[in-house]
Amino acid sequence: MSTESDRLNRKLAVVLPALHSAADVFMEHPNPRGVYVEYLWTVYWIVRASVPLMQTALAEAEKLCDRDPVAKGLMAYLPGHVEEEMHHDEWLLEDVERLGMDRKVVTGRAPSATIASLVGPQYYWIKHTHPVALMGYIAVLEGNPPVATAIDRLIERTGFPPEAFRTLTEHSALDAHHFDEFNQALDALPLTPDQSALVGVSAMHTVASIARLFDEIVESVAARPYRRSTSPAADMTGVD
Amino acid sequence: MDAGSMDPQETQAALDQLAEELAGSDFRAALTKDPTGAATAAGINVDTLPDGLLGTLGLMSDEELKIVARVQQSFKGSIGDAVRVAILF
Repeated sequence: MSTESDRLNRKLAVVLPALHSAADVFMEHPNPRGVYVEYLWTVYWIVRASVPLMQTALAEAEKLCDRDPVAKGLMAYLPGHVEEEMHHDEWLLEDVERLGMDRKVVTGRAPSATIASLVGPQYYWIKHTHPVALMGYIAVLEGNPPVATAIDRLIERTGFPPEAFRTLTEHSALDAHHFDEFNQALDALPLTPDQSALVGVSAMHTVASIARLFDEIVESVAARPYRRSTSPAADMTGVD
Repeated sequence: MDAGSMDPQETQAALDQLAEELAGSDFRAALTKDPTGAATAAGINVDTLPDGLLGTLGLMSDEELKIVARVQQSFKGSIGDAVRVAILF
């Protein structure tokens, strides 16, 4: 008999190629420095929301836990994961600063509608359906860690210092462990069929939204010929 | 998801047709009841589809299938492909 995590991962395997395809285009963009800086901005606003999302889910689960075993199960898993994800938005900003840029380049630019449409539905489902929806979102973010060879290629293509890739490097090392924990937690939840479908919808919506974000990163950065500028800021403005 | 030794063009044609059918609510409803029967009735050559794909689609709710259909419309030609590369989130 298959487990809940098996079924979720089978569902995700149907749509993940769309995300891999979008990431391929990102990786081979002719302006790797430009797309990496745009990537940092995008991921900052996603990671910035991770802990608040989980705290919101925890608060909703707490309201339900006396009569809802799934909510009770979330209360056993989420606090530890909040701890694990704490301050990762700060890692992103430190990566930006290691590129010689002011963190306000990222924090001072509001997130796009597509970023909001990735994160926003989670608040809706948590508040108005069931906090277990967030497990679909976490499945995608924890289940698809950066791969070391891809990070190395990005470092090589950008010519940026490896120290400016801490967020990717750390997640590459940590997420496999986090995903094992996640799968165990998901499999321990006595989900109803409707809750299982909600987790699936949340997960597949997350995949589609992240694929769209990769497309937007690629589209928003001018396809200038690759050059190793001495000034990261110049790669954003096009002026050395 | 592995189409084994099938002709890749035949597999892709079947995947494209499946993706097109997923946009229809009647097909999605039939798929959740009998994935192979629904696909066969729609004229899809199910023998050329990647192993397990229909069974996986049969596990999905209508809303999940709608997302699969939307993803396929937005990112043509990617349904059921083998997982290939690293991603960065």
